[in-house]
Amino acid sequence: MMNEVEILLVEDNAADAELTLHALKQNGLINKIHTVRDGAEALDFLFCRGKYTDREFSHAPKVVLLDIKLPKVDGIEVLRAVKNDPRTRTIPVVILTSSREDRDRLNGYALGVNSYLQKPVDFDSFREMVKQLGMYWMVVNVPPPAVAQG
Amino acid sequence: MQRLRRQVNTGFAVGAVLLLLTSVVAVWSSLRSRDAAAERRALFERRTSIERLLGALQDAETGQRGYLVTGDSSFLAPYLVVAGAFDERLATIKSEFAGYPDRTPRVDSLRGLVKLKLDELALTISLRRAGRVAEAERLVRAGEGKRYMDQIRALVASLERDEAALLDVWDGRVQASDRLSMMTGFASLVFTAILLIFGIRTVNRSITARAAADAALEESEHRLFRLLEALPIAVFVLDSNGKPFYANRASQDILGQGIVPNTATGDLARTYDTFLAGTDQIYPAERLPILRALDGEKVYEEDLEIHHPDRVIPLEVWAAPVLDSSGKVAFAVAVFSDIHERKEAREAIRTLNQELSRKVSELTDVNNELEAFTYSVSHDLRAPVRHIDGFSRLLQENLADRLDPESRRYLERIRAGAATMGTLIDDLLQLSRVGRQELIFQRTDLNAVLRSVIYDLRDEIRDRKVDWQMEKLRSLQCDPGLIRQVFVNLITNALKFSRGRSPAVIQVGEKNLNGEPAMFVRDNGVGFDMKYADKLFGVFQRLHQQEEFEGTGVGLALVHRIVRKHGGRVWAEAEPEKGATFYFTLDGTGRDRQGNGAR
Repeated sequence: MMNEVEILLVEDNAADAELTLHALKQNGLINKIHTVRDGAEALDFLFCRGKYTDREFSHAPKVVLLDIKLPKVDGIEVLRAVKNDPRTRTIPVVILTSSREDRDRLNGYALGVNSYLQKPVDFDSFREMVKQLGMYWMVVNVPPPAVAQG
Repeated sequence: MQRLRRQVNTGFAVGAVLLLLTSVVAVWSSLRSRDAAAERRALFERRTSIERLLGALQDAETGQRGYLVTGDSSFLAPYLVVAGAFDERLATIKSEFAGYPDRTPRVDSLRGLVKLKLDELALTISLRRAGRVAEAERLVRAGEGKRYMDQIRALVASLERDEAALLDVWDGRVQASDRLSMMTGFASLVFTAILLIFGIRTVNRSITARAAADAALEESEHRLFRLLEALPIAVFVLDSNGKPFYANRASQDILGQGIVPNTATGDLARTYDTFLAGTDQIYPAERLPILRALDGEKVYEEDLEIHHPDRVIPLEVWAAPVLDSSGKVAFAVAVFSDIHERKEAREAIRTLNQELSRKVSELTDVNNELEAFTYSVSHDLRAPVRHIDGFSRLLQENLADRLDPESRRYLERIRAGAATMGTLIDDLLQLSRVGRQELIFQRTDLNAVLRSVIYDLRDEIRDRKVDWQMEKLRSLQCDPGLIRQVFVNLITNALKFSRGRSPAVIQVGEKNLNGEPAMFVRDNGVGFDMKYADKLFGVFQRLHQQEEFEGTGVGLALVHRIVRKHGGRVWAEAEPEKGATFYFTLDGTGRDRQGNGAR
């Protein structure tokens, strides 16, 4: 089942997670979304370890929606780990954050983030953004070929 | 000095020669005078001789006559006395006149006549003695005797005349010689006097000059001494044997004592309580600056301390050798001063620096905290606002049909509040970012900036009539992104407050203020009362009600912060209902900075 995940949502805030899911749901993607609540779990998921040992690298999500401010391991560290490992490097990562800080944007892009989005305060705008995001990564974008195990 | 000596020598030589000359003349003159006197004496002797001869002859004649008359032989006494001596007398007279050939014939004649007279006398006397009185009287009467006598008298008179003439000659010579003697005497007196005066003057002058030189030297030495004594810096001198030679007043003040006689060179540091700075160790002799100077070294040290019972004086010391004319070290001089003030100042500076770095570190901490706060605001504060809006929105959708108009309005209110909060947070974040941001200066064409700003505002003014009055602006050094923000905020403001005007007249231009270019944005909007002008640029300060003109009160604060960061200033002039003009300057213009820097 975990191998079918198409969108990994890394979000510690329940409200944000709910609003994001709500927005995604309206695009019929609800079953293929998995939500993790901190950076450590995100890494377990992406590197198929801990409670995600059953997962396989070959079944990578089509996109990771990554918050920056996270408990345990923050989003930037997650991004670094993902982009520094050949097994995960090709997974598209989109930072979805409240922060517009130059520092975060710079760090994100320097580490090879595929997109950087700031969550607008206005929910209508947010919903529109998530819709476009889902459409783009699920439908428009052509994903990388599956990476061989190891 | 040399010239004076030569003059003195010449003076004395001339004087001596003159004196010698006058002496020679005086000696010669006195010799001559003596000769003349001898001549005169001889002359008088000759005259005396012939007069006495004549006298004796007359006496003899008188005696003869008496005897002839009386026959008394006692009358013959003078004759007898004289007659025997005549030969001798005549010989004397002959020798006396020997030197005068012109007189010799007359002297010879005189001798002949005297002999004839004497013979006549002898004849008559012998006749009388023989009683032949008449024969004798006859003989006398014949006058032969008288004739002889007359001839003798004539000869004597002739000789005396010549002698008298000769006497005149000698007298003249004596007088001349006396005159000369007198003159030379006077001259030598004068020369001696002159020489004496000259000598005395020379000696006096030389004594005076010597005394003056001595006094000048003494004065000069005294002055030098006073100068050394008055120096506010300590001077201490060792002689070539390493013995203390001189210590001026300042050095005595520092050392607490002056020259300590018979101080051994090695004991200098101990004698004067000199320690290695910051220790209880006597200053090592081999490192003592003045002793190193004695070895010909020039030294600077500031690690010496004089320990007094009540205080410690830190010193800085310069020491140098003083060479004599042959290049050997004659003295070593050390100059030193109390540097406790400097040391204290240094210590104070160190303390202040520590304080400063502590403050800087505190400030850095505060800045970091601020940054963390900003970050947290950016992330954490926006999220709940977004949630409020999001769930209100979802509530609106879910209850769309069941909501009464009032509840719907409440929900709208909630969402509007969330939106305002969001804007406020974003504005604050921007303000904070500008505060922390480093300026990136570039030559910027303000006209291009302005065009792009107005282009971006085109949607907002689509339905309005705006009369843009744009003057040509300059290019200047500034951060283009931030200056764009300034224009955005000022023009947005101008559009906002001229909302009720048709057309809205918005003027952008440049004005010269004391050589400094000031940009301005002017509108014909509602303006404001100048008594609130000081509140314009404060954060969250607003002069209008939210219902009238929306806004967070951050826009002008941002303008203010950007302009200040550029080293410029911003101000406004306005009147209620008559529009407002916002001015700003940028120091980046590079013109006349100092002239207006004080404002």
